[in-house]
Amino acid sequence: MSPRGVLSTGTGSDDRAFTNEALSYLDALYGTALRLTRRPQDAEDLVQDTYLKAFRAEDQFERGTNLKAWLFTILHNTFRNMRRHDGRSPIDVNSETVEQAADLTGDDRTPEQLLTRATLDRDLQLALDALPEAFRQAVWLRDVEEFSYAEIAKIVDVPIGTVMSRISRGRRLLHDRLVAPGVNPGVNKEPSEKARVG
Amino acid sequence: MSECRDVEPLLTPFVDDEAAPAERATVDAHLRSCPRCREYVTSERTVRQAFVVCRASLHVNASADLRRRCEAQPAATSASTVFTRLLPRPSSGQAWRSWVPLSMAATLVLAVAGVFVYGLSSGPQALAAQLAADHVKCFDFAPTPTILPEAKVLGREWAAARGWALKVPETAPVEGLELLAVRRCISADGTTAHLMYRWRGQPLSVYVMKSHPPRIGTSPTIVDRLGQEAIIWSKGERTYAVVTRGRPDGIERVAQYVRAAAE
Repeated sequence: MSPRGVLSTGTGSDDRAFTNEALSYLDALYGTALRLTRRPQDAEDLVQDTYLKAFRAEDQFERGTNLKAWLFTILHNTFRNMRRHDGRSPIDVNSETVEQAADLTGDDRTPEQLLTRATLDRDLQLALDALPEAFRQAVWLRDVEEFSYAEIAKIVDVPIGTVMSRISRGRRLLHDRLVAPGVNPGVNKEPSEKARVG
Repeated sequence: MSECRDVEPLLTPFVDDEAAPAERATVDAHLRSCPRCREYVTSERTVRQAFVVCRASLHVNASADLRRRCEAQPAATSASTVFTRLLPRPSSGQAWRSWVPLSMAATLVLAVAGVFVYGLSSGPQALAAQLAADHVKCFDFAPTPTILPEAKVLGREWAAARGWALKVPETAPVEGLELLAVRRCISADGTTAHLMYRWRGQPLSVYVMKSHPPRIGTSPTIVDRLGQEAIIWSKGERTYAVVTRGRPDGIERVAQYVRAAAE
């Protein structure tokens, strides 16, 4: 597989390479879908829809560009459409997650203490799930999937400045939650994306 | 504070090592005199490092079933398979798996044909065309469970995931009907339940629509569309449809069973 999901230029015989590389991102797409939907069945539906559209639109993929980012763009577009057609309001945070997040016991004040906390995995996941969707998406795409700002901007269809702002705000909300749980009740609300420095 | 506002958009690229050298120098200079921005940078950097530490635990693996379904899609969408799969099939003695893969491209043909022939209007005929296309497409990915699932369990899972109650007719050996799975219908508006069955070795779909499309009556209407037969009716707020290939004998009887069990 080529680095960063970039297929080489070519046609015809590259079909198999396209398919194989596209499928190599299955776990990453599913993990992201799970973060978006927070329901395994919805996440599976979303990923299957994504591949269905991707394979149908293979001819529209520009060889030499980033296949992984292209698939993630389809995933996010499909998610938006799925949610638009879903009768339910989007889950931002379920009550269980809020309860668990409120129970985070960390009181580590230094980065070293936080990063060596035994429950960091669990705490980070809970705090992440409690983030508003826009911030969760941006932080996940940057810090877990390691997309560039420009790639994230294209995937979620917002300006680069907004991407950076969401990453920044999302990280700070996570930090507040991890370091001083219970003092940031706004984590369950949609905080403003505007000025963060005062 | 105005200087903080000037520097603020540069802090995240600074943390991510994405800032240009000149911007980096500006931030460095500012941080030396601004404890508040230093704190912001430290908090962002700490969270970024936390993701590095936890990255392995944040990654999840897709299920084997999802992998199988996704791996099946390139073959199903391959144009080379369209014509062979659209060839007439023997009408008797077909094995379950031999019926399964009408291709995705064939589905598109059916769906487009449905739109052109029957228009975009609502009503039983347009609905039947849409469901016929979905029936063909979804059985490209039909599960082949070794142990048939329990209808009540699938109904509970659906209600928990989708927020509305769904009565799933049980496997009925007397009717030759075996429940395979319940899926969200991805071709409709996203709220339709697709109950997938094997009936006398053939695929049979039961669709349950949460809403009530216009012009669907309470009496079952039989509609032949695109080589599939649909029996459609409504009850209360729900609309139901049974879809099979062709016009097999006994379809009315199994539809009666479904009607009694699903409503």
